[in-house]
Amino acid sequence: MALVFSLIGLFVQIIFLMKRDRLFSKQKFNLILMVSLLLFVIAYLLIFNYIGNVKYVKMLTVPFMSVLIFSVIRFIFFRIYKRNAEDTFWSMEINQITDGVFNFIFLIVGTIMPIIIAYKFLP
Amino acid sequence: MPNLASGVDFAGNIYTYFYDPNSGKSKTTLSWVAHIETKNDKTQSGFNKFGVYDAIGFGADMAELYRQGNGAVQFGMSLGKAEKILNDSRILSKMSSSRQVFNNSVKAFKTGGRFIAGLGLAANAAEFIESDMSGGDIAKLAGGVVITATAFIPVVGPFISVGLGLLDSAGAFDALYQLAD
Repeated sequence: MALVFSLIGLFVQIIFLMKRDRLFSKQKFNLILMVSLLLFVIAYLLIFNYIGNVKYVKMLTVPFMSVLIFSVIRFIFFRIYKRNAEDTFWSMEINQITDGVFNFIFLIVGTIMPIIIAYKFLP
Repeated sequence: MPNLASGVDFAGNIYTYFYDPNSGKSKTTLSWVAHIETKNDKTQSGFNKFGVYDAIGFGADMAELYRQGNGAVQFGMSLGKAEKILNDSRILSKMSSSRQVFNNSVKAFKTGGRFIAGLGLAANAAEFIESDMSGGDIAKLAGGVVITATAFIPVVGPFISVGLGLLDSAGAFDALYQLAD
């Protein structure tokens, strides 16, 4: 069960890994934002009504925070380089180092921070 | 047709072997019958030691020529085929299709890598959810995410990611996780 909730909770990161262009497309990004917001609301409805295991349900709050972190990091990158970061997974092109750093930072900050916030700071 | 080899048989007959590499045809002719009959030679019947030696040599020559000729024919055929393919520009299509197969394989390999990375992230999070969420567990989660994220750094990232992953699975960072506890 923990793995299922983890997969749902990390769906933004999985999209980032598998189909990252969907995060850079405005329409699809809005859809992802809506879905993650919906999951966030559902999670707190379940928690406040004492439905389900809080440990698992809290994982549903992670996507919304990940999307917010992604949009902030993407905004900073866009302001500096006037373009979107390219995919650098297992890339062997040294000129993509800035894109690689963007991807690296997002995956670390956008995964660890929401989980810690969800489990350590949110009620 | 060039004369490539000649030899003498047991009877003292001289054979000549002809081979044409262009047509790939060969021919052996009996060009001269030489019964060595001299007054000073005792080999009246035509059997002489040179004939025996030559016959053995001729046999060996024939075998070697057959082998080389066969090789030459094969090589010539291969060259001809290559020339024909080049003329037909089929070699280019073959090269491009090979490149396509290679690209597709690399793409499939990368997709597999992404899938495993995604599963790894989810497994790390699941392990964190099931834990008591102490400092060590947070460090473990962070370690797993860093290992996955380094795969995005160009050139050196994949090697670092694999190296760190192997070290982590071998328990090299356990002391660090305990320290975080």
